[in-house]
Amino acid sequence: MKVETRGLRVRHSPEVDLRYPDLSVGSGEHVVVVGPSGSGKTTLLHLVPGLLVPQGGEVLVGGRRIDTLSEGERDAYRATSVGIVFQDFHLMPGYGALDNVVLGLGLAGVRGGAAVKRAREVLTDLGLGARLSHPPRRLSTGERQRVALARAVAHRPALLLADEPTAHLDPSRASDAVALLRSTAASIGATLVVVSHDPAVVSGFDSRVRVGARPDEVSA
Amino acid sequence: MNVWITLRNLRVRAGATFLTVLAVALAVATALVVPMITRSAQRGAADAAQVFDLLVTPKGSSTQAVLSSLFYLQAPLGNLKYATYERLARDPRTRRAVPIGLGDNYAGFPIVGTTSAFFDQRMKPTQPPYFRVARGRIFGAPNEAVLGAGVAARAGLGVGGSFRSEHGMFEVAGAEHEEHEGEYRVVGVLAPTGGPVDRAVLVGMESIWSSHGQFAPRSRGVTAVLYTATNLGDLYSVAQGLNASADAQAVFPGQVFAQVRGVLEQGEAAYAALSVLVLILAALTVWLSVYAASVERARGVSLLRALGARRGTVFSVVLLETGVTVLAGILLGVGLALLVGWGAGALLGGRLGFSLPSPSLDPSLLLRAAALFPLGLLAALPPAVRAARQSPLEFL
Repeated sequence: MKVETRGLRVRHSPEVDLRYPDLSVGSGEHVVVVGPSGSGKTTLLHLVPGLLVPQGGEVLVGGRRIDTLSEGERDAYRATSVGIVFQDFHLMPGYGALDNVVLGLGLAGVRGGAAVKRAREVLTDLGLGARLSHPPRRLSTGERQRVALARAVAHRPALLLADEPTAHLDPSRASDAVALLRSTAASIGATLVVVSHDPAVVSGFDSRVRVGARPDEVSA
Repeated sequence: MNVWITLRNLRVRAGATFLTVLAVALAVATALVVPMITRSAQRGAADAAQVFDLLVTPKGSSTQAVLSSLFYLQAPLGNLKYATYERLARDPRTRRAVPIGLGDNYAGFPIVGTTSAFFDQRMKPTQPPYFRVARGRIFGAPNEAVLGAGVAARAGLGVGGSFRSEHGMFEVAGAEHEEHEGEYRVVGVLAPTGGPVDRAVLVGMESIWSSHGQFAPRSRGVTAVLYTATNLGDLYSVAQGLNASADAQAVFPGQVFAQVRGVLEQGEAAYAALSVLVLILAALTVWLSVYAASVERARGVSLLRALGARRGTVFSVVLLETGVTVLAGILLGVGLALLVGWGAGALLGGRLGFSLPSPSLDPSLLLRAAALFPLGLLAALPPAVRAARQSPLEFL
């Protein structure tokens, strides 16, 4: 699914007024968005799935304007077409790994036995077959990230977003994490947009989008 | 999906959920159990008095008359002259006059002297006799006895068995037993009725008189007469005549029950006020637990919204969580009340001398418990609205 932005502008406060260059990420393409802290990388990652509505400009995903959708339509779009791996993973506390994935599937409309079967498959593929009932606090950081990835891809979204995927991993595991993200996205044919300031991540991508050093200085 | 999320969330907070359910259950059980038992006791007591119209005893407390001659729980008021009974028995307005003679016991079970007319008593004239002989026959000859179902079971006596009676209506702990000379032979056992007769031993009046040395007809007396008139008009004229006489009184058991019920209802009203307080306390517990969970919940709500859950979904999940908790508490409380009511009813019935009907919940009691449900939902409404308004990015 193609992702495009045109003239995007987000004003968090009088001091932080983010203006983004126009982006165009082709369907199935893998892109990394780079830039220093506070440059608006994560905000961009909130604009694309409709978690945030821009003050100006357009967000188009698969040719469809996202920023003009109603809130309910954005919810539905996010549940069915987007998978997000958050920087802090944001797994449901107390929910086992399987339940976390079943939850994402359920919101995307996959229910009952089909959801459990699919969640089990994805977690097993990601090497978590023996951790299905483990709640987040009983999983290692790497395992938590893989559960978050499983939840993001189980419903086969057309668009996969990841925010600083290596922030909680030691450097030696960074390239493995990126490779897993890319191979998982490729396996479902999803467009992948990753936000990172980690050189180890950035080096794993051919396509890069740079946002500026200062918030009002975003460039492609 | 909403129910699935609700149940998972409740499981994640299993400890807090359990305590809230328990608080609601205990409050509900507290509010229900006493009124349930008193109502059941009233029904049980009333059943025992429906096989006759009027209780005729020597003058005295009508409550004592009922408790002694009907429930065998207190000492009798004294004796009526046998002539009073004979006059009643011969009266053309009389359908049935059943004499009762108390004063002896066997192993603590009251021995009730009476006549075969006792076994002809009915709830309504068209119905079959109320007391049914399950095994053997009714007494005929002197020193023959028919056992109430409870006596046969607890004393391990059956048809063909024999026993000696002791003086006194009750067995006094520690006192020396004063046994009578003659031995009774069991000729029949009654089917259980749930009433006081279940723990009585029925014998002929003559047996009582002879064991007390009342051989001369003039020395004989009866403790009470269970009287049934041919019609209602006759009943009141007989009652008036008795109350105007020097030595006897007519007691309508229903009136005594009404008095007792009046006293009970005063107590019940005070208890009802108390139970409303307990229910309010339970509602506050629900409110407290809803608010305690709201901070923890806020993160989960943000995440659900970020994953694509609609506002309506998070709103209904918060309401459902409270609804399920309160409903589980109410159901557990009702179950607990029935269980305690059943146990306490059996205990109380054993002491009162009649079986209490199984406690049941009438709609007014159920309504009292069910009032907690909307109160709980009301408590959940503000956090539910807050959850629905919450931005998906607030905690991410």
